[in-house]
Amino acid sequence: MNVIETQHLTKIFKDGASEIHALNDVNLTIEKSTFNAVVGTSGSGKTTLINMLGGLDTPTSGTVTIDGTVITGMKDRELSIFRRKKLGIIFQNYNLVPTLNIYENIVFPVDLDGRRVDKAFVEEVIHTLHLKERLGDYPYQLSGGQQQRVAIARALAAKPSVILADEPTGSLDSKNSQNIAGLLKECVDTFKQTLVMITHNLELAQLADRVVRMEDGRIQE
Amino acid sequence: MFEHINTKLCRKLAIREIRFHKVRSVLTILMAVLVTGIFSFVLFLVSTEGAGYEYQIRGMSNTQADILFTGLTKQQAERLSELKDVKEAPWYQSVGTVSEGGASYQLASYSKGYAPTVEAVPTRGRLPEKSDEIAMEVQAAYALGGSSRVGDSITLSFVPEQGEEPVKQEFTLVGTWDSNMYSYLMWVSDELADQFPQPANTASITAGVNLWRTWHIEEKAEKLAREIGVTDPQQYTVNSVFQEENAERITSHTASILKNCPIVFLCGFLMFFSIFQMMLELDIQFYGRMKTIGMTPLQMRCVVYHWVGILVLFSVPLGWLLGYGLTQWVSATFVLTGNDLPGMSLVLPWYDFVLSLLGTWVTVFLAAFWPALKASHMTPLLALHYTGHPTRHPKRDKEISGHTYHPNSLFLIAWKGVARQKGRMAFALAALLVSAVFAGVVAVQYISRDLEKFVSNKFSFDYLVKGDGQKYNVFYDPDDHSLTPELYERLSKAVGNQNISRVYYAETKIKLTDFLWKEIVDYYERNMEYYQDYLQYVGFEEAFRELKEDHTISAAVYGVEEEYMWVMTNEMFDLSGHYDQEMFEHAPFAYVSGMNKNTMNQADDYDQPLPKEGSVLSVDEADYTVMGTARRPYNSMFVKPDAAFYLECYISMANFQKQYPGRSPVELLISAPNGQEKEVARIVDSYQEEKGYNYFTIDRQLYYDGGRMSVWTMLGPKIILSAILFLIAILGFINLILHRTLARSKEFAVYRSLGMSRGELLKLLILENVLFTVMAGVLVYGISAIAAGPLVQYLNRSEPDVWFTYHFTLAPAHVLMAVLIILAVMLPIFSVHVTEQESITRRLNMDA
Repeated sequence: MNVIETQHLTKIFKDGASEIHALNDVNLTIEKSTFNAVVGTSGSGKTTLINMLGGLDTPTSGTVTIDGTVITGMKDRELSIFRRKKLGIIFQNYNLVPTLNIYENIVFPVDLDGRRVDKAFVEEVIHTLHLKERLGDYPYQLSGGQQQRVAIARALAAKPSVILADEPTGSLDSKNSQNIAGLLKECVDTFKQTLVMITHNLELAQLADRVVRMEDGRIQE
Repeated sequence: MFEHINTKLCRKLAIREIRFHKVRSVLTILMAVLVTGIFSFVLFLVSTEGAGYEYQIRGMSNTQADILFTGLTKQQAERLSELKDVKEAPWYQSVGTVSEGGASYQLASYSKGYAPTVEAVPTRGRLPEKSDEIAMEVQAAYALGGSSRVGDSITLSFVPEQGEEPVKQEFTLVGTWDSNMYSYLMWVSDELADQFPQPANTASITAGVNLWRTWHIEEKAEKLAREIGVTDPQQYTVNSVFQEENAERITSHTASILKNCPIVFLCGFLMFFSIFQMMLELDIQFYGRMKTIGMTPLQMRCVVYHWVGILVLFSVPLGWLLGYGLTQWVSATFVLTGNDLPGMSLVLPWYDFVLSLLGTWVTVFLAAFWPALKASHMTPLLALHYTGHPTRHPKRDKEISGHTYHPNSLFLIAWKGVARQKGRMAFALAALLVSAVFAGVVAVQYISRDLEKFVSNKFSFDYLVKGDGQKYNVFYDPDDHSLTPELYERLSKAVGNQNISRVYYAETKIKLTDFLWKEIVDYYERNMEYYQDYLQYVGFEEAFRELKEDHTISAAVYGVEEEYMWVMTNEMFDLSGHYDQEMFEHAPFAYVSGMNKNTMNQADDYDQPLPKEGSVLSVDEADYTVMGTARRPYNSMFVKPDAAFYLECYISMANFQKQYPGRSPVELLISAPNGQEKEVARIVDSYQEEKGYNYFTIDRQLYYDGGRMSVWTMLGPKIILSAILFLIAILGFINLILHRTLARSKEFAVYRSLGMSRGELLKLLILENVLFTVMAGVLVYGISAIAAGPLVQYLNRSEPDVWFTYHFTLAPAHVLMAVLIILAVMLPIFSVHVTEQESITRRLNMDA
């Protein structure tokens, strides 16, 4: 069953007089409960694709369907609500809320949605990601690897259908990178979620069930 | 379907934002204290002044009550209190009436409920207990007994309610209160009242009624009268404060203060906006981050509501205190009518507190909401990566490609630094402009108040002496001889007799020519509606009857000297005719003016008709040719004969002495050149002490003091407001300058890492600030000049000439620019010192 579908997805950036075709008529389907790696050279459109899948940016044309819901054309409010219910996004630079402590950051999407936190589940995630001792600290007190683990925990805590990760190991050393990638795979296997991860690291891409190659805004398979 | 907001989470985020950004939070709270302070100051002032004006206008109806009932029986008075529309109805019962010295007073047993409503509670001494004790207002005591000292005797003749024959009795004055507008009550003891018993149905009770609601008060008054069995509409009067023109007077006066609120709002908003602009990128990125996680625009608004709410809550108590303090300070020196108003105090209604809180909240919210609003119109991605830098423009691309390279001098870097932050600077600049313009207008209005002109118009001489016992006597006493030739001689030796002007006075009746008689009768008949219900000066109907039947009118005749006439003809408004001193001195010429005492209600045509120039006026069988007329009387209306309306005739002293021999002057007007005022005062004081007289004297200094007080009354609130707006604008400037340094710590670390010295960096920052200050200065001076020039002249176009002599000034702009230049130079020294505490490496690795 496909949890993600894009049809004729196109994104053109205008920069002064010039146009940049970041995505060119991308048709992509992703199956449920799979680990998918998106690879490609710099400027190939990987991040733009993730941004479109997460509803973080609007395509120039085409549609994106997540878990049966067409998110292109959705109103800002509906999209925000959809995002916190159905998507977990992990950014390269973590994007944690600096004024909330680690535990608060992790449960933030659940709180925003007004749902009760599944404490047992969140504790399991925290345990899996080795964050138990740092729950009362603030992001600025953690190392990069620790912050990235918090970002992963946050993405998982809401039990989204889909996790989108944009270079989650980009700022980390190789050991941490391996750890994070392994953790993500473990989470996908354990919690039956779908993961789409951008990476430059071919070793990490090997861990994926499927590798999607991008070049010049198109999918090369 | 309702969206779940999770206000608890929004509140938590707001509190954390406040804690994590302490500098901004403290600055915002400080600004909010100032803004709340000014809002509440303006509102409290409006309420206090409005209440003061209302108090004054209410008093013109001889009571503060909504409706005054007279001639009630006890049963009717008691019934009034029981009616559902009536909040309270205190009353007193008259024991008798005193008519003396042109005024009428009522004797009554002390009414605890009624006395405070007419400020008739003794503040010195006590209430009367025995039948020969009395308490009254100071001015009445002086007028009737020549003394207002507690313990002195005073003999009064009064007509009891149940009787026609007057009763003469000596009383001991046991209590007094300060003069006020209700001087018609005197309290006697129950013991005396019992000596003049009144049947139960005696209609001698006066009740002041206050209603729960005063809408449709005329109808309510009629209804109340019907319900207690009063059929004569003359028995009740609705307070004149409810007349439309009076309500409009109060509104227009308070509106002149209230219209400062938009300026406060604008300055406050610009100030807060510039504070929040400093962290605009970070705020938008924050909201972008929230959006990526799934926060909706409504939730973002909720965060802002809580954020603003908490900041404002911290600031309002101090702000209210500031507003209260300012209002107390200003109103303590307020002179609303030129007299003290006993019982007048600060009015602080609850809604002023609420409005000032709301005003501050709205001001802060609108400024704080801007980043959230901007972020909500962006995609999450755009908001997350927002840096505020403008996108490349195709035209600029072409310009850059063909652009000749210029080496980056310090000046050029500074110029680019200033240009880069145009938006932020614009708001700080706007706040500076608003405060400079406002202060400029107020400054011009202040220095254009010509005190000398004002005083000269009020009182052209340096010293005035009126006869013995005249202090509380509202009328001249033609039989007073206390201003003796001996006193005149002593004063002449000191200042020269050419500097002393004597005023003689006589009262008479003048028989009018048929033409003038008809004009005056027609005038009063045309305006009868305005004169009939004027209570304070009794006898209008009687005087009018006399005029119609006998063709006679009361007249005050003044015998005056050359100096007096010169001053009068030069300074009076609306003087007609041509004053010829020679002819006036030696031939029977007269200047005539007229007055009616009903000045409170404005008739359609204000002025009583006067004889024409060249016509002949017969005064006590002597004919005078009218040389000119004056629409307004020169003397204060309180030195007139006891008549509802009259003419005044000014004739030469020589003619007066011929016509009324054996009189003494009633007034001496003295000019004291060469600073001899103190010598004049000494001569007068020692003479009156020697003779046991009690003169009434006025020193010109009193008018200067009164004038200064009036200036403060008129401009005091605006001066305070402009000072605080100045402060707000300067704090905004400081905020801008500091932020420009502290937020660019990384940028400056880059410069330092590339070889810029600390001194050069300091020079760069000072240059940037000075450039901005110069640009601000050009605008401030330019717009202030327009404001101080055409704008002020336009605003003051209806200002009376007596007060206003236009002077141009840019003093506030000078002060502002001087302060800004000093700050522009000093602040970078401080902020560079702070930023340089951290190493270059550490600063290079900082997040923006």
